[in-house]
Amino acid sequence: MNIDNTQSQMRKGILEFCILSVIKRGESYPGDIVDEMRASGFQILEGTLYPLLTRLKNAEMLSYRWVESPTGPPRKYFSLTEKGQLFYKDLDRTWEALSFAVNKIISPKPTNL
Amino acid sequence: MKKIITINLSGRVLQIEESAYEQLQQYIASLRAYFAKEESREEIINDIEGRVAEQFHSLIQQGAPCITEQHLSGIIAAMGKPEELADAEMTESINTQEERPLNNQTNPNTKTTKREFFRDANNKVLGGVASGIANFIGIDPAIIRILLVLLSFSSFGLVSLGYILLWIFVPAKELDGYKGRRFYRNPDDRVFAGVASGIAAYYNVTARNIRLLFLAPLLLQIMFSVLDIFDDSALAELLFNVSFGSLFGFLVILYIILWVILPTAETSYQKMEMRGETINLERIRQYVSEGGVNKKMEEWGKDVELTAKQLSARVEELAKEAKQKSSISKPLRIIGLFFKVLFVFFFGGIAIVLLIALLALLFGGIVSWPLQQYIWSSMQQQILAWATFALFLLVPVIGFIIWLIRRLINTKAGHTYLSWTFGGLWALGWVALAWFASSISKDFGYQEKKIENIAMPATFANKMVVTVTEPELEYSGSFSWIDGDPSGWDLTPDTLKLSNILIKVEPSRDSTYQLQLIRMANGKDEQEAGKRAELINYHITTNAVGGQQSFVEKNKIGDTITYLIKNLSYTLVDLGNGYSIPASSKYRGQQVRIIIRVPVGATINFDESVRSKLSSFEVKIRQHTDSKYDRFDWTEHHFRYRSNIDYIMGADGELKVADGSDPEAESMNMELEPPSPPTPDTQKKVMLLPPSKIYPVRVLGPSPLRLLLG
Repeated sequence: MNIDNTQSQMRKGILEFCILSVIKRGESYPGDIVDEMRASGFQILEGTLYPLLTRLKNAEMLSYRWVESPTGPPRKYFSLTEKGQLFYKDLDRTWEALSFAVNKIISPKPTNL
Repeated sequence: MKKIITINLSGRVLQIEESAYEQLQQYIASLRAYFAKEESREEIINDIEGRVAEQFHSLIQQGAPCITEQHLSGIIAAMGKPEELADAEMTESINTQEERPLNNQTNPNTKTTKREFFRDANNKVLGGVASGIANFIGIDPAIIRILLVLLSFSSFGLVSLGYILLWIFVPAKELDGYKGRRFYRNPDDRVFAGVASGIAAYYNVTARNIRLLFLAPLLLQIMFSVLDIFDDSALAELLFNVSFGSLFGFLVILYIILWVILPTAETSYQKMEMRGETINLERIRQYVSEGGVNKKMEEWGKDVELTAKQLSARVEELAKEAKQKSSISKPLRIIGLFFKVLFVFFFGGIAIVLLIALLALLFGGIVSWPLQQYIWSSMQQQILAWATFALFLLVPVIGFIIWLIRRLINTKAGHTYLSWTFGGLWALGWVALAWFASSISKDFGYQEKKIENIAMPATFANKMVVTVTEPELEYSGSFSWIDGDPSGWDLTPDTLKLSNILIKVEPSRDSTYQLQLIRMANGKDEQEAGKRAELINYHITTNAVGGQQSFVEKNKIGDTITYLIKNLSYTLVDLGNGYSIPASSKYRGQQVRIIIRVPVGATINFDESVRSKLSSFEVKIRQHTDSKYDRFDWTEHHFRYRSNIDYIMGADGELKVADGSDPEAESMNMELEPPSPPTPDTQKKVMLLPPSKIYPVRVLGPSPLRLLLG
């Protein structure tokens, strides 16, 4: 049992949810997603993002279109599909419940003083 | 100083340090291996490449002159190395990744899926043509490079020209490198430049084998000179030195070529490519962490141990076999032995015959080097000859040597493709041989002869003396390799002179001597043969020499009386010392024959010089049976007359010796016969008169001659 493993397991579970929520707010390309997540303190390796996006796209949760960029070749901009929206809602609900429960568990219980 | 190259990454043109670019390629390759199980691997890789390109681009926009290794390592850190990704994703990459041989990978780059022909801007020695071709076909660029170098040696600049044209006209493009097992030089295990061990790694054999192969000719040469089995045969010794020496020389040149062509496997990734190992992360990590050199030493130690074990095991096996043999029934054993012997003899025999042919050709090839321009009538023939030499003779011999060495050091059965390659090349050799043989034999298909009557001086003489006054034909060139017999032929860049002239004596139909010169040559058709015959240059001069032997006496009155004892006038036929063939007409069985027709009762005498200066061997060449010329059969008419003997033409058409002794010279007699040349200047008693005039000789009586003699 090592700490890295546990940490990455935790992160991995939430990563998909975070990515979907960034995309839900508006069409975005992977660079944006990484920047936004890093800005809020969620450190991810970019290398994990691309396979995840591709898998979600293959699962028809995401779709993308090519958008011309000012600096170079066009970029892939991702957005949620209908299926993705539903999937996200499910995840959202699960997250709500989970975070509530987790917070409750880990926060100190009121003591009888 | 760092080399900066320009690359095109995902549609962006970027300046990057070469070392950084190499790192990037390795990184991408490692990702590709990491995502091997991902169904949309290429898409992921493309996305990542695009992202990297974007970040490079923004770095340059921020003012960086080019992408450095630091830049790259920052980007890789953010992107994550495969092992980090594995940790992050918790995909059980290490356990689930199957070993996938590199060769099975399909061409991964979507940029080049269309398989267009480009020069490769990434991986080049000169213009990237070879690597572009390799990319197009999908093989290791090193193979193309070797082929190009070898071909450019033998193609008289055609290949080089083609290379330059491709360089000029084919556009360059960033191509993904060849993914598969590649030839590298191995820097970790080397004696000179690591060529041998690189090849060994490619073929997955130990480096010792390859080294032995490179050294084999030298070792054989040394072995032979130590044994000195050819101690009394200078020729055989020369033969071995020349053949094995030149083979060794060839291998040295090959080694140097490979040294130049093959890149060194510097990074661990390249080293794995060299071995064709599956490049997955675990392997790279293992390799790096275990330390290549240590591992190598360890492996080598094991290898030595294993070899020793194998050897002793073999000895044991042999001993066992010998014991077992006594238990098998006798007839079976004999049959088995018989087949074994037959097998060894059959294949060994073929191999040895080919080896000998090769040696003969190597030796003969060197000897006949200046003769070359008299052999090939076309470039095609020459190319065919070389192809035959290389493919038909060299290939099986090399194959045999490889097989032998592998047997000797007890390596496992060779790769099938090795034997297929050798087999295929040998088959090509057969084709080349057949083609070459038919091409050459076509050149000999027709024979034409030019018959010319040589004018004879008018004379009453009933004797003919045949002589050769020109000095014996001798090689005038300066090739030091001619230790043997330099006489009988001569060779200059534009003419070949030969002295094999056949002389035939026939009875004349009338009372005059007749002389016929026949020039013969072969060709692929009658015109060509005729032209060749016409171009043979041979000269014969005929002179009438008058003379008489007499003695002078004074009679009682004091008058001088001359008694003629012998009529010594004769026709002198002076043959040239050889006929010449111009280089332009090549050697195609050119031959000169002389027919001398002697009237019945007349005399002919061959001077010693005819036998000593002209050779009478005949080159027999079979011709088309359906061709129109009438066949000459001269086989039995080699020159066999004794020198300085007066022969008289008999009524039966045979020459007789005046004193009735054996007309034919035995070889022993010919050797022992003392030379007594009857050349005019040595015959003191004979009066010499200006030739080509008629001097009637009177038996008695006053004549101007008489006064002259007095």
